[in-house]
Amino acid sequence: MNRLSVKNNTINIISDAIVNSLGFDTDEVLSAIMNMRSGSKSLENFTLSEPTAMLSCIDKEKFNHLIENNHQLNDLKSFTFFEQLMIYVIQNASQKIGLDPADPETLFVFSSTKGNIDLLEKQNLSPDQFERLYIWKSVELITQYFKNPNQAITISNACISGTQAIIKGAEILKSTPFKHVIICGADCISPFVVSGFQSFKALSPDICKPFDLNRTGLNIGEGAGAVVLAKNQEDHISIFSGSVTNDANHISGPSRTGEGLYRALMQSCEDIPKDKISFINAHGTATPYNDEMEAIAFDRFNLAEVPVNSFKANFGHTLGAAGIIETILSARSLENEIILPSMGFDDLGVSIPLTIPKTLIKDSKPYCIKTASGFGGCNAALVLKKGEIV
Amino acid sequence: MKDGVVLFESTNKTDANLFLKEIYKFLELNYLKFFKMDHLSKLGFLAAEFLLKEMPKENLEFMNIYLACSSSSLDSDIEYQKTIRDKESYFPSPSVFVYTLPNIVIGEIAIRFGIHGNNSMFIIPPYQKDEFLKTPNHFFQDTTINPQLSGYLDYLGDHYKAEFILKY
Repeated sequence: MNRLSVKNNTINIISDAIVNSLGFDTDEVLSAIMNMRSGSKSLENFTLSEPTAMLSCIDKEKFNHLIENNHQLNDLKSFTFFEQLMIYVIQNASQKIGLDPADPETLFVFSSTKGNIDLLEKQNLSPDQFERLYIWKSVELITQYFKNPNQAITISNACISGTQAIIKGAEILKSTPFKHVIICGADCISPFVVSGFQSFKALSPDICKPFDLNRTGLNIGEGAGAVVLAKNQEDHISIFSGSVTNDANHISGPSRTGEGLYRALMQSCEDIPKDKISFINAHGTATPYNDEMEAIAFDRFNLAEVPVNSFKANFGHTLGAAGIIETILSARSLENEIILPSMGFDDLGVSIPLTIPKTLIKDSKPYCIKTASGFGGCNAALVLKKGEIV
Repeated sequence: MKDGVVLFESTNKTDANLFLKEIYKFLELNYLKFFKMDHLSKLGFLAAEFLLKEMPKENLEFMNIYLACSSSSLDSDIEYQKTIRDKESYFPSPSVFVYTLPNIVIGEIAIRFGIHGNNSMFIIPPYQKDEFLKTPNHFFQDTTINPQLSGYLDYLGDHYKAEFILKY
């Protein structure tokens, strides 16, 4: 159990940045979600598997324009799109608080599932290009770009990677002299990933519908997110606790009893009064099995009455970035005393009577829970708390 | 090799997959799922088997697993990419795709031994291996009294390696 909020040593989120199909900064993405917008579009001939695929892509033209005209950034032409995304969000999050990422008292933590996997499409890769298939190589180059002297940490634990990276970053910050931890996650859309999920019959042809009766699968998205953590900044949202577990049940299917997620919730939420929890931001992929598993786990831990939302209909499943982007949006919700609407939801489609908000709700309870589950049976739960003492 | 003692030595020096099968036989395993696994999972599964096979069940439930690799799932990624390369030989399969994540090996070990504890796969440069295996380190702090399986493994082409450490 990782109770992270210890007296006189809270771990707080002091800055953030997001890039995804909805925009190029947290405020832009947040306002799009408040207005129930989706960045997913139907693309033809993306893979040979299916004629169309509903994908949540970043506007690359606009992104290129942004990085070329940002005077804080050096020439990024030698970096891949995946690496540029990471550099952009790290720069954006650091700049907002005047933090120099080169500071030796700052540590980088990265999360990604597939890195530069699109390079595999090219035949006859040069040794230099082949090396970029290693996620640690991208991380090394990004760390060097920012002239940060510390050996970065990289987590690749399927779809919980981002959530887990925040928990890991908070643990490290709590127990070491580092002053700041910058946590950054990214993943890009590639035919590799899309065809794989198509082979699982896991993709929805339309904008996905988390927890809905007519949900048929997920939308793949791409994106990057970064958060900066620091100690004892009590007026900011704190990382209260977090836990990672395993179902020990199946490598590609969630546990029918929600065992791993139930254990993660039990370990991280034990001391939290249930009537103080504003909402749960679920993994909510909109696959039939995932959403049902989550509903069962929430119910087993007596959380069925807490409102549950998912942002997957807004910007898709951004894989290694998902936990970071969704935690940022959850933190912003607590700060603004709102519960964001769960786009795509009409009629309840899980066996537990969950409360899924269809519109934005005002709420000032101090805690929220972010959950994630992934292939390999891994689960994570992260509890955020609003700054002021309640 | 366990605790510096060579347990099993193969005369075959070239075929990595054959070597893994020989270890499977040496361990007298009867676990059909093994044959569905990719190379990285087989390697990690067998390394874990050496250390955990005699461990009582109550020590396994809350065990933490912290592994690191350098090549991630690239060995299986290359295999999967072959299945989507061209129209003529297009056959993407979920049973290949699922192994294109480096943490699946942790799932396989967790299923085999009923392990529900904390678990993570770290990606590290090859030159960071010794630092990772040395505790305490940034990757995992030993803050709990739970048993812990940590280690480094990597599999790409003909190159493979697994070094696991059990603490309880």
